[in-house]
Amino acid sequence: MSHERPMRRRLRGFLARLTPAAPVVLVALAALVAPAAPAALVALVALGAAGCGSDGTNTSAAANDRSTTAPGPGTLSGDLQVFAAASLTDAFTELGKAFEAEHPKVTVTFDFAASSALAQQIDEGAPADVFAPADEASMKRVTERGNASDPRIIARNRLAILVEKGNPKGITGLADLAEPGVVLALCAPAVPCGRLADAALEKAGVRVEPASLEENVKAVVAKVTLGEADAGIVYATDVKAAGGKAEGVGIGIAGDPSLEAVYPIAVTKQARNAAAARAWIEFVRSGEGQKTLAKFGFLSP
Amino acid sequence: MTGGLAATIDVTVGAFRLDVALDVPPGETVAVVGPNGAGKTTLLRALAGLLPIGAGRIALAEAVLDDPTTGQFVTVEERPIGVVFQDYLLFPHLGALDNVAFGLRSRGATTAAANEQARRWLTRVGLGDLTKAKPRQLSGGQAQRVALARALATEPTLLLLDEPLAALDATTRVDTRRDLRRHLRAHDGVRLVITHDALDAAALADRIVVIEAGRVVQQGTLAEITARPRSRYVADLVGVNLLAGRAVDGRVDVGGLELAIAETVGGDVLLAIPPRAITLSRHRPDSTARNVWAGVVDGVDRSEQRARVRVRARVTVVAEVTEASARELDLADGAEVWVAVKATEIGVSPA
Amino acid sequence: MRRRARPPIVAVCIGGVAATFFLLPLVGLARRAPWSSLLSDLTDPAARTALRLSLICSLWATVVAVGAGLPLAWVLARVEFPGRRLVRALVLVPLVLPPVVGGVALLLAFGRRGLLGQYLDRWFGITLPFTTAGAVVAEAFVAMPFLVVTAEAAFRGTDRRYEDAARTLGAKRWTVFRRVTLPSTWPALAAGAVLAWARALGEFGATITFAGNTPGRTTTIPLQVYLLLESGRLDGAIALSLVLLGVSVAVLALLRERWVGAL
Repeated sequence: MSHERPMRRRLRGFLARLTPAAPVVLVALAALVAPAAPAALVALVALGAAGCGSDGTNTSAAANDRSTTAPGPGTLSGDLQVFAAASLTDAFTELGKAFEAEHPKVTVTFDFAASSALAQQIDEGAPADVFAPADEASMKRVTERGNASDPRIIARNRLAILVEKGNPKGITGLADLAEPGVVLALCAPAVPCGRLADAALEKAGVRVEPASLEENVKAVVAKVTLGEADAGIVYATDVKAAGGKAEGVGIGIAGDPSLEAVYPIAVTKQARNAAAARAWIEFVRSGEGQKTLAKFGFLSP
Repeated sequence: MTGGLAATIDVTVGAFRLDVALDVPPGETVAVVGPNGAGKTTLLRALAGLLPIGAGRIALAEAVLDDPTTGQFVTVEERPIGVVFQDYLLFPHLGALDNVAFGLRSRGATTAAANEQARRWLTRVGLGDLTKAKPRQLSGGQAQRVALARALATEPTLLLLDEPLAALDATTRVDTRRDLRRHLRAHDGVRLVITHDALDAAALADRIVVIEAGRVVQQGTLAEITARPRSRYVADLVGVNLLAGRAVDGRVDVGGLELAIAETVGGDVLLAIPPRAITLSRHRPDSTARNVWAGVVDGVDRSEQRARVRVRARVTVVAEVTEASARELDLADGAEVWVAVKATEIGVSPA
Repeated sequence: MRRRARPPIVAVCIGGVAATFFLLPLVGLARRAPWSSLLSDLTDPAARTALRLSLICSLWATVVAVGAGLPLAWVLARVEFPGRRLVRALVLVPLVLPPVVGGVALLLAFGRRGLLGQYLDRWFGITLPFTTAGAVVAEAFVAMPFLVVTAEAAFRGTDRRYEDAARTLGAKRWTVFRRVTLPSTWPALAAGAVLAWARALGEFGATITFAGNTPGRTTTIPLQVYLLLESGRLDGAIALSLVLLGVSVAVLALLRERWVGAL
């Protein structure tokens, strides 16, 4: 530690001119002075720097955009980051495995969350290659800011009423949800399933008093399967996923496209692996992809 | 002995065992004396009910407080006791008046009645004008008086004092000791003072109980104990020369011998002269000591390194010298010696 | 001697980084804050309802935490019993449990089909989920550890001789606690209560999972902020977050300084 003293003087100089940007330098210097300084701090700063970098530089994405023809199987490689609606979790996970089998050099990573949250993250510069929300509004929000383009519809999802196993409250349609004594859980209006549920209830002329407006559709499913709520309005795919823990009841409004969730998909503007992203979209739209989606209860587009 | 304290206490705390018997009639003050770790505080805690005894029996004024054989146990808060703790333990967030009123209020008095009573007690200990003062604003002597007033306010049958003067400096101690003595005499219950100081014990107590290593080694009046100390500790403790006299203007007349003291007190006093503070010589010493007198050796008690020499004159004192100097001075019965003591070495207590 | 007087430079540097680590996100929020529309964002009925509800719920949660947590802390500090270590560890569980999992656990215990909840429902007709009381329960669950940990340390740290002194003066247990223990531990207990309140105020995961989200009933500020983010209304979310931040920083700075400063 013979060089400790000049180092300390330099550090003190930095301290005197402490600006919000200084900590990065300070950590690096502190790490030099004390080799035992927690690596976490250094990592932390590195993380911050990486986050900033991805914000401004899109050179790789721009380069990728120039290649227009999709490469054949086996030529793709690298990581593929898919941001998808929570309701796609099971179907996409299965599709991901099939895709990786077809393209062994590609690793597919998913980020499943509420569509609106994902849209927000992409607008803030999150490193997504593919965006697959559960509504056109979220997609529109991203495309309007130029962060994705040319969306395609890959699936539709119908609303359904999820009730407790055995349907103890004898619910047969939307009208029964207004009965006093029925504890109803809906999605919050901020998320697609909430908007659709509101539209369906309005169309049926039913006024309900929901006990809770859950922040995503899986939370509604959880409340019903745990027995806290007697019923909830969810997607047909959720009824299927709930298996034997709860059962579904049709909403009694058939074939109205305005009451269906639409699943668009698009490559993001800052995609770092645009080639794989396009291949993924083609794969989902292919016969095999559509068959898998149907298996989980999705309707074809 | 009716109405007093009758206690046989056998209690074990960790590796330490206290096994003592104690009988104190009402109106008597007993000093429990002993070295550190002798079990003085354990005894106090057992009597107060803070520590249930393992065997034995504690009875006060005919009521059984603790008897493991019958399972009878009166809890601390139910016992008719008052305790002055070593560091006083005045509640720091309460003023002097509230501290003194605490016991009365805890025992069901209305706030007004308790405050009235507490004010009287504070006045009695001479602090009537400090009712609002917080403990940290009080001097050591004042805090001691508040603690005493607090303990006395509930008019306990048994008054326990744990080293009530230990925390005070020498000057404050003289006055506080005198006041304490007065208040103890005025209290008509059983009084028990724990101390390690011979002068405190002599000034405050009618009787002294010496405990060492959890056992009573000796008890009796000061004169009885002085006459026949039964252990090295007791000898050191009571080996102090205690002389009664009358003080006027810094001089004390002790049986016709006039001694100079460093304190400015008047009236009847008790003087304490540690044996080691006394110098002996064969010829009149050319010393700065202000108290010098001649006497005759009346007994030498030799141990390995030290010799205790009794010197008879108008008053008789015991001096402690090294064995070497005892031989050098050729101290034997009948030898004539000069005694010298510095005025500052003489402890003074109003009698 | 001069070497010793110098502040430890490495500690100061790392400490500075840590402080910046806390500060920067706040600066980020403040920079992005919709200052011009702040007032309209906050006087929005939904925002006002959430603000009021947050205040009510967090205060009740603090009351519950203090009412139940103080006796628990006292027992943990003063009563020897088998399994005390286990109970002490149990109290810390909400600190390490992800709040959402905490919420599910609360459902399984106090929900309509829960261990205890089914009897609450069957015997008393009480269901906690989807009610304000449920939100209070969720907040108290995550907030109480702060109170218990602080209070237990305070009770342990007191000089018990003062309590002994009070007992020799005839004070019963409750009097001893009220007039001696409480006054001497008051600053620490207050600090614990303030920390618990602050935690309750910011509670999100356990609340939305256990109590659901109903405007005016369980939609506290953190839930409202999340929903605003979901619907892309970043400005409103930031405005509400700023209020949350402002209130808690102000209260913590003022009260903690005043109460804990006395220690």
